[in-house]
Amino acid sequence: MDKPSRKDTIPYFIVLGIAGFLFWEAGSIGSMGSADRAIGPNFWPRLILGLAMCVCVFELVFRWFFDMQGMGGLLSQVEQQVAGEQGGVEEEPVEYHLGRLLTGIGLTLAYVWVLPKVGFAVASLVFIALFIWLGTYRKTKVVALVSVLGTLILMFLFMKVVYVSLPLGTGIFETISVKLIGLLGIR
Amino acid sequence: MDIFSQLAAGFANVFVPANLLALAIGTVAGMLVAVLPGLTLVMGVVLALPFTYTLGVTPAVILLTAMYITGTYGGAFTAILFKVPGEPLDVPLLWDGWRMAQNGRPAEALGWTLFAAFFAGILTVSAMVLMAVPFAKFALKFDAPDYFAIIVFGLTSVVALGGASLTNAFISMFIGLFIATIGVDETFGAERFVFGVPLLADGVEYLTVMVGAYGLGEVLVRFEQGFKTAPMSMGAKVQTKLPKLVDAMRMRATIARSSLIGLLCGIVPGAGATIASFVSYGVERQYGEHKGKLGSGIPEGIVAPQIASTASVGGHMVPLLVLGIPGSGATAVILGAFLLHGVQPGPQIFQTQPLMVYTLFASMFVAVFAMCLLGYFAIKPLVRVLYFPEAITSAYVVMLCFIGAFAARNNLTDLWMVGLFGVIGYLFERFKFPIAPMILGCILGPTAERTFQTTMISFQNDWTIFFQRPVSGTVMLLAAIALGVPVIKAWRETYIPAIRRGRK
Repeated sequence: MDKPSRKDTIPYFIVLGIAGFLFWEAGSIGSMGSADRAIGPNFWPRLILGLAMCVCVFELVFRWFFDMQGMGGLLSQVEQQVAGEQGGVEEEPVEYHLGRLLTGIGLTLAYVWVLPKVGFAVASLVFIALFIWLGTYRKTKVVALVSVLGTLILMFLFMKVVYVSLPLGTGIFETISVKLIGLLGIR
Repeated sequence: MDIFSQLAAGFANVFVPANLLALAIGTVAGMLVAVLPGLTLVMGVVLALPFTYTLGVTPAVILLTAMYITGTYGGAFTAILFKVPGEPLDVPLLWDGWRMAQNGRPAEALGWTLFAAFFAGILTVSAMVLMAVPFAKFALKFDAPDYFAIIVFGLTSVVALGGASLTNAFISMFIGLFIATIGVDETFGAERFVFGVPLLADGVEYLTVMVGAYGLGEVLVRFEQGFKTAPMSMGAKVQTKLPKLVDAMRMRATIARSSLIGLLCGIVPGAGATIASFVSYGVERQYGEHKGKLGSGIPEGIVAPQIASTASVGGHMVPLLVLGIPGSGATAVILGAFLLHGVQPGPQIFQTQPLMVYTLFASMFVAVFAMCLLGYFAIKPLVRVLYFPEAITSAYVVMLCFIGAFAARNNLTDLWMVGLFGVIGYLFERFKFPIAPMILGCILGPTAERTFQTTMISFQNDWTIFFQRPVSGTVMLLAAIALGVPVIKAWRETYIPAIRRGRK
């Protein structure tokens, strides 16, 4: 087993903290299980959260005091052994780009936020184009074609075939969506 | 009616246009998903789920199951021809399959893969049909404590067998079980962990967890890395040359070993197709007739992992259909499809909906034939999807995630949940926490809690009842063994020496 760095323990501290808070919070759940019934609605979540905290403490103790990290499952040990003996798989080193990640998350959440306001057609067209562009694919004509055609195909497929009532937006965007739906022969 | 006449009725029902269309779409989609870079088999099955909302339960499950079985075969093409494993389960195919292609025999390598997938497909579906009915009859006698014990076994074996880190897998499972407690409690009607947020009052839909964590989370990981899949070059001819029956017969020991490994790995929750593929290759290296030549491009190195991975599918379907307990990500999604259509898999399903069950069985036989025909005749155009830019594929994956989550309840707030679980899925990938235990915990959590509460109420809070009854006691013992063996092994080999070193 590899020696872990202290930084790697952060997720366990976070899970431990959140589980601890929720364990305490579970105390305020209706106490219908008191008196004659020992087990109430808070028993099950407290059991789960308690066990989760125990696992975190176990991992933290071994990482902090013995420089050890978690043990692997039985079959995954066999899997790693077989892969190791065959020379494994060539994996390229992973690069992390926080800026790009935050842009991706921001773009995705922005899509969810604007969807009810501008409707599926406009929001999706812009989202697909931006996502592909930011995903380092820069052939403008292809991006434009793929986003326009893709949006129309998705609209047709889900509104006409699967009968999903996709958001139309409000105001001018609703007018645009309705016209587009008419052009596609959906209604 | 006996099994064979029910199966005959099932075959007749498969050829109803709606079912046949679902089967055809599922087979092609499974192949595409397995070939496309950036799309995993489970992610593909998750993305296909929204297309099944308006279908009946039978075509819906046929479509997803066909994708599942075909997905265990499609990735072999990219592994053998381009040294790009379509799925983790295809990694062992690199060692002999790709090597055989490099030795100038790609068509032969593809032929052995086709033979292995076909043989294992027919075998696994036959085994599933023969095992499921007696198992279901036995399972009808199960009571709440037995069900709880089986869920505990299912969850612990998923954690204990497959996980690269037991601790991370446990935390993932507990997070899933916790998510399932949010909302109004079934037994007492109390609100739990709602914090005054209306979004949480109805609980968290497991569909949003699946779609967010598997779909959006994986896309975010690849987006961060700038979608850097290596460009493909069509160096080899895409052609399949089937092996001679005599050559296949010479490999009967390999075939028998890998079939058994595949079926067993399928039945045990947590040990899916990937584990089966690796274990089978490892066993072949230990006991195979040509073990010394393994890795140089021999057929045994292709047949062993491919048979095991495809054979695991039928094994996985048995606990899903008979007990309603999925043992992998893909079967969890198929369970989701059943539940979305108001059907709860379990032993009763064989009595209440026999035609649906046998149609599903029959469809899997047909799917095996369809997958092999597709692999033989249509693989050339299928592998062309490899040239599709990953950024474009991923943009549509995100779109399908959102539409899929929205379409389930026509609720825009579910999209925020998908976004949240997308970020959680990213963090899981980034910090090497497995996603499958969280999904399984989320799906099985309500049943686990219900059976636990029912047992406690029925047996006056006596928790020892789980260990006193024959079925639940045996299953609890198996769960303890599944969990205890890796813990004791690691404890003895690594932790005790570390503690001793610490004292010195």
